[in-house]
Amino acid sequence: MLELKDLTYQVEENNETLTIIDHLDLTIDDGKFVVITGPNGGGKSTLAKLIMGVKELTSGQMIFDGEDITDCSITDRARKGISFAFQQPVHFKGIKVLDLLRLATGKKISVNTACEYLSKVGLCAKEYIDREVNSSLSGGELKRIEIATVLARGTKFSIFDEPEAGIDIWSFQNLIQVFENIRKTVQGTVLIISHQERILNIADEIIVIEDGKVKTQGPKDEILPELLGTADAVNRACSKMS
Amino acid sequence: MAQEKTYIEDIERTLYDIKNVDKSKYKSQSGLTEDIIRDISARKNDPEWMLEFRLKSLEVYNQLSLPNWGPDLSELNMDEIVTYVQPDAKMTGSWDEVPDDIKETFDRLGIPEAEQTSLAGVGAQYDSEVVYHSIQEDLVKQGVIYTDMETALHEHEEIVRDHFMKLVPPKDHKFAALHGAVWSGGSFVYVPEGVHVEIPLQSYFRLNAAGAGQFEHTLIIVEKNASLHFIEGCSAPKYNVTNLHAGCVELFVNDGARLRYSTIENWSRNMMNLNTKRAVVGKDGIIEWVSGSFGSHVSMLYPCSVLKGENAKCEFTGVTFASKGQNLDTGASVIHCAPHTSANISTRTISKAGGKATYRSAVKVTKNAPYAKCSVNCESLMLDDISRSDTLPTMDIEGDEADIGHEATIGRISDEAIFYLMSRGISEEEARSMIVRGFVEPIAKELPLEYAVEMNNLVNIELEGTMG
Repeated sequence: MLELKDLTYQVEENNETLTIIDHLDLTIDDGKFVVITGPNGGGKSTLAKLIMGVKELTSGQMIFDGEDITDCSITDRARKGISFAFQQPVHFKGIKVLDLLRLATGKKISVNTACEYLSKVGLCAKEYIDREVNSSLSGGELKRIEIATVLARGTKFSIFDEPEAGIDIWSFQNLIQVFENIRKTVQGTVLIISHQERILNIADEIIVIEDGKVKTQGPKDEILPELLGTADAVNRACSKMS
Repeated sequence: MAQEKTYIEDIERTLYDIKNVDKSKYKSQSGLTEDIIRDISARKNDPEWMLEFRLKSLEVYNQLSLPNWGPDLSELNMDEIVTYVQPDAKMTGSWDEVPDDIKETFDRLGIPEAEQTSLAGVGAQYDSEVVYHSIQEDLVKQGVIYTDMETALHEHEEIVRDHFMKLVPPKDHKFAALHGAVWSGGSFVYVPEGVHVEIPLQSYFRLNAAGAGQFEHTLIIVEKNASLHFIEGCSAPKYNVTNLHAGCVELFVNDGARLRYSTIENWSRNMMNLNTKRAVVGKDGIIEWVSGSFGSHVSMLYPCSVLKGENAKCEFTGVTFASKGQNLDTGASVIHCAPHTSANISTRTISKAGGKATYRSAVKVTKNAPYAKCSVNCESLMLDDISRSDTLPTMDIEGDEADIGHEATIGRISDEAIFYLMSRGISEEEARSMIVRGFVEPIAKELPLEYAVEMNNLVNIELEGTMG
């Protein structure tokens, strides 16, 4: 279980203090498939990075499986079982896809095992296993490799930060399938930051973050109609205006 | 919340920094005078022409100025440099006959061991003279000559006279002239036509004496359709006074021949390394340079390839690693003198802890070199915000039909890359090492095995976590 208590994250910009996450309280139960959504700039990705430790929180407390991880480094959090699929995967010179998967598992896994992870994200594994993780890979390919590394880690708490961002429609179709499969097979908690209805649709639970706070949290069946209703209302209003 | 900060320790140099008591048999006076040159020449029993060459070089040295570009060399005071230090050892072909302290030095550097496992011949120079030389018998039978320069000067005088400082004449620059005046030691290799030396030869240059200079001369001639891989290593312990290295390497790669010249330079941080290397390549010949510059206080090193014959090729692969107190100005130059000549220059420079690394290259395509091709790729990585990295390429293209490309990138290790690797459960220190290793990987894979290991150790930088 992950408990976030009174979490605040502020940044200084042009001599002004901006509050991105504002005294946020949130509990995420084990084994859930949770999607965080909300308007752009509402603090969703920041929250994901705070959980991984990529950003340093201003105040508050984080408890993971009963242990206070507030002051833990990224490495320590990763070792305790939190993993993170970056919104914009990093390029690495001299590091191959196989190396990245081995790094993720922490073991010298065989090429066949590595290929299985790539197949799970819809990549023809043998074409990729020896490729360098550099700009010769497309955004969609990098995204799927990134997801494969998080699957390979197999940790008890996996975060995916806007997996659909920056990829083409064809890749997006594949991606949805990947998450539908993850939904069926993965053990542990999955936390996805997403705007996509098709991803929201496979969630157990949806959390809406707005202005750095939890606006609503609840089962998909309760929250999704509300969200879609809002979208429909906006669409209707827009069509009347045009 | 406390933020973890990192501090990158310096490279572990203990192995190289072990000093021996100075037991030299003879040392010239410090400074540079005609008497000192005559004394060195007499002690080495030079033929008359070599004495004259030395004295003319001294004249040229006195006429030339320090370069008006590159790192500041004003701290070099030649009046304080001892140009000739004769160790108390005669050259031998048996390690058992090498004095214990000198043998132990080369043992620590792994030379005898490498000789047993992966080399076809070894030369070991200590201060100004070569103390050990060996070559496998089957190569001797094929006519391969591998010996110290002094022996070559006496036993193969005509070949030496025809080639010595013909490629790098003393007038080239002030330190070439200095080299011509005071050169001592070094290696001579002759590979006859059609002979392929399958296993590398290696010369190692060790400077032990404080305040001394090392001026070894390497002359390699690879005849038509022959091939050779030559490895050069060098190191010195650290002193509080300035040491000087002004070696000279001349490589003659004839038609259809191939020479790979690999160097790992790991001088101590009090060394001024002002070295000159040049190759001339005949028709269809290939010169491959693999160059690692890690040590020294100041370095100026730009191996030059003169592509003289049609279809001659040059491959240059280099890595430079500048740390605290180091100003390493390195690069490569290529002169295309014939049609269809091609060159591929690929370098990586890393700077950290305030070190300065400069990549400097010169590509010249003459009118006689239509369809010349040259590709230059240099990448620089700064490990912190107090280090510096510069890229200074020049290109002089006289012909119309040349295909020249230059690509340069300078970057820092991004926080995102570090965070990414940490999120996979590895420490920040490991993450940094991994990124640097990946960066130099294209170079590491070109190095001979033992040097690849040495370079890996070098980039396996120690990091110390401090909370603050």
